[in-house]
Amino acid sequence: MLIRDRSVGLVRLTSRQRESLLGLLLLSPGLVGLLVFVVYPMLSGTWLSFHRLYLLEGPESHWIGLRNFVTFVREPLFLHYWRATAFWTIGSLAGRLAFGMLLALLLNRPVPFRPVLRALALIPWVMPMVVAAIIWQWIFNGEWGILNHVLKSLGIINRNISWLGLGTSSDLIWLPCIVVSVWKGYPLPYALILAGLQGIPKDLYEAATIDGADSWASFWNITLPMLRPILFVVLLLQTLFAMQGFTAIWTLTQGGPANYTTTIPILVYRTSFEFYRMGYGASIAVMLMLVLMVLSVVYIGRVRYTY
Amino acid sequence: MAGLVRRVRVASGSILSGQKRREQVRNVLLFLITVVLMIFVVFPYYWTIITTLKPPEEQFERTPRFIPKTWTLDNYRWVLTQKDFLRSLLNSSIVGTTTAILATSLNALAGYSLSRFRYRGKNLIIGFLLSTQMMPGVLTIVPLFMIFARLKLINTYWGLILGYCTFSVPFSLLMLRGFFETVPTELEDQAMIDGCSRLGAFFRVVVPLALPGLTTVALFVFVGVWNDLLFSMVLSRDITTKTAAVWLSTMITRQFAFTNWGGMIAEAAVMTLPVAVVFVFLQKYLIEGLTAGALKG
Repeated sequence: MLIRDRSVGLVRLTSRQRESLLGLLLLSPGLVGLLVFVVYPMLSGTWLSFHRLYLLEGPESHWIGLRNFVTFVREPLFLHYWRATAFWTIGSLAGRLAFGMLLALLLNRPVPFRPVLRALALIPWVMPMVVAAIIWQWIFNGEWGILNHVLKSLGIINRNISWLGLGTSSDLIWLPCIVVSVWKGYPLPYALILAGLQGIPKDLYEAATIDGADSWASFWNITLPMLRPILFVVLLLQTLFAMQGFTAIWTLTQGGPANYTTTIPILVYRTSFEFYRMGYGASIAVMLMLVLMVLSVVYIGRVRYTY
Repeated sequence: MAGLVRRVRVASGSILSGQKRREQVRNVLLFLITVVLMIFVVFPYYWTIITTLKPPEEQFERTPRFIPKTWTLDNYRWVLTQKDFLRSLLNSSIVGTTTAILATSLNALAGYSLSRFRYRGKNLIIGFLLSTQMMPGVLTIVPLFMIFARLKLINTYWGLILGYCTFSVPFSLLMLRGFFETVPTELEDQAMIDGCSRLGAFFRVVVPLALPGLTTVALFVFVGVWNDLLFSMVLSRDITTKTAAVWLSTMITRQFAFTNWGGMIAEAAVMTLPVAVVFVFLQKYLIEGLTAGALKG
């Protein structure tokens, strides 16, 4: 290749170095875009959290250090918002994993119409979250929803339950929200677990049955350990996704009634774009980011330890 | 216990067995459970379609019907008259398709680079990509809004496209890299020996082979953009750029949706249609695509 090492100015590039350069070059538009539109806003948002920016006062921001964070911690509903977020996240996570795992296990057996059923199991992924929330809201509707009708026909309840109006008196309002989250969110875990299940050699189960294991023992001692890598990925990703969930709650309740279902992402959006307190909103978001980071580190740490 | 029963049965040579009967009952039970779960899965779709086929009188009945008394296409006819909604569909289509094509093309080269070339910091880059997935979107919306406002990109197609292209980078890059890893390197090497440049080999040999992967990623990106709510809410101001997702969500939260519920749901159904079509084509690739990235990456 180009080699003229007597000349001072020319660089001697091996073909490997040339490749590396080309490789990096090809990556650069994407990386630059990410830096500009993802990393920079993230840093800028963190920077903003240390300022007071109240658009109704004016477009300028003033440095106030940690005061936004203090204000948030002192906020009377502080614990409530985190509790709501925890409810939502844990409920979504547990529901999606359980449902996805259950379906994957069921559809891993020889059942009639198996290919059709396996594909059908993916269709909630198709529906836009907005539409899913609208439809489920309609199903859960207190006066005209089909759920109340079915429950009354089966004799399970006597009068209509206003599912989405329950927040003022009970945590049951989370039920419709979690149902939507599970219905919409289980396909990815389901698909990953199903793929994982298919990688488990059948002889392991045969050997176990010969040794007298029942299905629960097989599940606990063969299936779960073999699925561990996948479950780890699914658990981590789903926790991170769920904690940031916005669309479902926004469409169903907008965080209400009276802030009952306001999780942190909903709170950030409303604070920044409805109340125009952007510095304050940013500080809440930064706190969420810290929580996510801690969770990620804890997850990854535990996995390293077990391996 | 199970082994003992089996051995006794084999030894005695008899066909009758509590064992087999129990297994059959178990299979039937499990199948029934599967069916029940599938009803849960499919019901919202069924309910959507049924609601759109009901006339207004049947929408708000004391006892909702599972099958309409009168079937009607009026709701869909109504949708065709809704200019704002149709405009939002157009917006979603334009932004979605452009983003999908642009993002896939740009990231294809980059993904190829990640898969084939060796350079320092490669793992760092991959780690960086993965970590961007983990950061909360809500943190970025305010600064993003301010950046786009300064660039005068709020409420423009290019603003949305640019934003979505960037957000799709980590996911598409990682998936594309996974796909390129499945293409054996011997073929490009052969092409280069025959005189192709690196890029030439890429376009002539690798791309045709990775076409299913490229299509899958493009469709994933399209679906992601089509369904997104948060960023399009932030980056668009009026109906000239509002996507269908935003439009639907503002309609439903404004409660006057109840004046024509059948029509509203018909709009929701129409919005779901393109994604459903994509799904039908993608079905097989979906599972492969979803698992390729996660398991190999």
